[in-house]
Amino acid sequence: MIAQVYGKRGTTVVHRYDPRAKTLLLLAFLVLFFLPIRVGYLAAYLAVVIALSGIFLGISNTLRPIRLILPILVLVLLLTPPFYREGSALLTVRGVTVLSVSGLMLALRLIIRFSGITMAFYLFIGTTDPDDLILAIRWFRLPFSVALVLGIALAYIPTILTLYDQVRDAHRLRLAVEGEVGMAAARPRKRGLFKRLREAIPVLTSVLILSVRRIPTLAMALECRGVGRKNPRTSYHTLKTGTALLRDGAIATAAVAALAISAVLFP
Amino acid sequence: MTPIDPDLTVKNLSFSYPEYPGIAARHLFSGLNLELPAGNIAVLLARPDQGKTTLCRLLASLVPRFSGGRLGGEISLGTLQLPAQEPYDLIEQVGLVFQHPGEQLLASRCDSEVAFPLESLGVDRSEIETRLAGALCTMDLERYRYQSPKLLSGGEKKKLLIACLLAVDPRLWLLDETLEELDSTTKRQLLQLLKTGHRSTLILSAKWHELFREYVDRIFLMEEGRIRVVRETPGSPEFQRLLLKRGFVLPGEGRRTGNGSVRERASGSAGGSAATDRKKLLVAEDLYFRYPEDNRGTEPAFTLRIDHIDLAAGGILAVVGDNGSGKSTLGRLLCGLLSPGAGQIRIRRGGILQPASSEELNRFTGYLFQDPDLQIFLPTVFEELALGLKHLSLTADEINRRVQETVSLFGLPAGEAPPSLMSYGIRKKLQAGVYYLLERPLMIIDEGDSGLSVNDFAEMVRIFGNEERALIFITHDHRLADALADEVVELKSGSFV
Repeated sequence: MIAQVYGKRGTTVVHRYDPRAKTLLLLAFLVLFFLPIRVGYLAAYLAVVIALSGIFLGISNTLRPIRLILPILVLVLLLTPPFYREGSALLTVRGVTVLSVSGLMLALRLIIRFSGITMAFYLFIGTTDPDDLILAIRWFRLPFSVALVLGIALAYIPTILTLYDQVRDAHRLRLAVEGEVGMAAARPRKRGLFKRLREAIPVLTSVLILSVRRIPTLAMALECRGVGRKNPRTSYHTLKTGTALLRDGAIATAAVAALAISAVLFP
Repeated sequence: MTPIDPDLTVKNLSFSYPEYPGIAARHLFSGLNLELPAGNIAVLLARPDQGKTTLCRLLASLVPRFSGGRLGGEISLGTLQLPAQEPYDLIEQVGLVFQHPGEQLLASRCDSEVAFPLESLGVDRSEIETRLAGALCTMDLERYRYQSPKLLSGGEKKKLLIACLLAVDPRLWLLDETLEELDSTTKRQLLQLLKTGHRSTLILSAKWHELFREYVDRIFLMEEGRIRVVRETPGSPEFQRLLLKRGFVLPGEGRRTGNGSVRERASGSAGGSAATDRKKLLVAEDLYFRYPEDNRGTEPAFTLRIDHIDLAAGGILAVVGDNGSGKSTLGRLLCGLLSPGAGQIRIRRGGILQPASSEELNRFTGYLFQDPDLQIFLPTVFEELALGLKHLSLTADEINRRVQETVSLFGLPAGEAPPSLMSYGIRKKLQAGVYYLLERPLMIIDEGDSGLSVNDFAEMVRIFGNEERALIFITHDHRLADALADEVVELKSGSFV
């Protein structure tokens, strides 16, 4: 899902917003989703994040991660209440509480928390330039190697997606036989989720093999570009400075303060 | 005449890869010697699997650091002993362009890619800006400046890697089959560029390019782990005989001049001259394809328009064109991996030409990708070749027989050999073997000559080009196209010219 948005240049105000300030806001939202506040308020914060994602990344891009985590959310909804049956009963079978209010609320809380964290990260990654992300990490005094590893790991997600598409095409051509297409991945949208997953295993295995094979060449490529040198590293890309930084920082500070106040006022 | 002191010196080099369980140590070089004076361009010709890539990596100090193995002898650049250095400390001294460009690209934007090594060197931002702008301009890549390198064509990726080297401008340039996949204009431009300044250049190649004649100062032949300097003048009959004997040119090649010819036909079309409808295997008309808007950077979305193309049984069509002209896009349309926005592709089924769906084109056409690794996944040559046959409901004996026949036909290593340890050229042959066994009526070979000697590629074309099949091969080599194809068509900006 990140592959669809990561590294794609946007021109919106959130795309242009300073990544350091954005990091602060991300942390604030992450903390917020873990606070023991009412489920209704948590849902409101989640709605804010989803709305921001819809506005700045587009509706279809926003639905993508939601669709992906939906099976997990359904499992949480089904499996959490039977283990937390204290409090008022909502459903009883032969006198035994099967579903209670507190169990249901806990399930909802977990669902909102998981969705909130996912969407907050998705919005952050989707609206932050990879080069800016590395610079922001370095600005927080983390070593370049950490920033590079994170940058490469994130950049590798779209690479793997491209690799997956190419390998799927290769399988699709190679295993196409009369009467059927050998690899079901050839027509993924016409099949059920589990069937698609099962049939994608050969492609995923091939992608894994290719990815592993690329590790030594990636290491060679990095060293051929000077990664490992002891001299101070410069940067071609720069982050905002002066008034622009102050403005973005002030907005982030105000937003974090507003979130903190709202968490206190509406616990 | 005063002898020129060599800049790069390789003395008595020996190298062997380590043993792996079930695989004996592979000895590549023994007593290899090479000298390259400063400012010279040398070409090292060797057939696939002779160790060109390993030699490059040895010179860049990447091997045995990343591969293990036993290294003997001496490699020096001026007074610098290269094997004693770390690769990252050498980037101002030695620059390498990998044979497979996709493996070397790291950044999310073309400008970041060029800036990356300069940042590592600690170059000032303003200087980075100047150097990267100059490098992108020289390689004609300014329009892709803010684009992801992953969206570039194979040749454009190589141009970007050359731009990276140009920005740093190391003392020794190592170009591992870099001229493959580059169009003739870019090749000439690159060689002209290398000719200026004091840098030394070693170009490794599996085939002879006529442009070498004008620009190259030294020619080396590498065989059986040793190198010998070619003393003959490149234009001499002795030299031509040598190239022919070693398989670096095709018979008849080398005596002609120019860039080959595109034979006469109606503008915007290919085929349709001699073949009757009875013989035609595929006919495509009014094909139109457009990539999504964000796929080509700041340029308008790339569009392919083909008025007409047809292929008859036994026909061999070569498609030539500059980098990014749409050759691979055409190939992907004809095998059903891309669907045209408009137009129709008809294929012969049941004796008549009928419109084909994507799935039908998948079954009808075999397509050899530029990158063989995308089509090779299994642990041994045998398993790789047998995979497609298993879907044809053949007996184990029949599968075994066909696999052995293919191993012999394509000159592949024994069936138990692991493809991951084979050279790029041999992996290309294996990729071809896989599709040979599938017996598709139409084969498309996308830049199959890259990494192969011309003899090997000509043999591949001969194997696929039988009377019942049609073959399209995509290449940048006009001369090769002229020598091997029945018809040559050129693509420019998405249309036949």
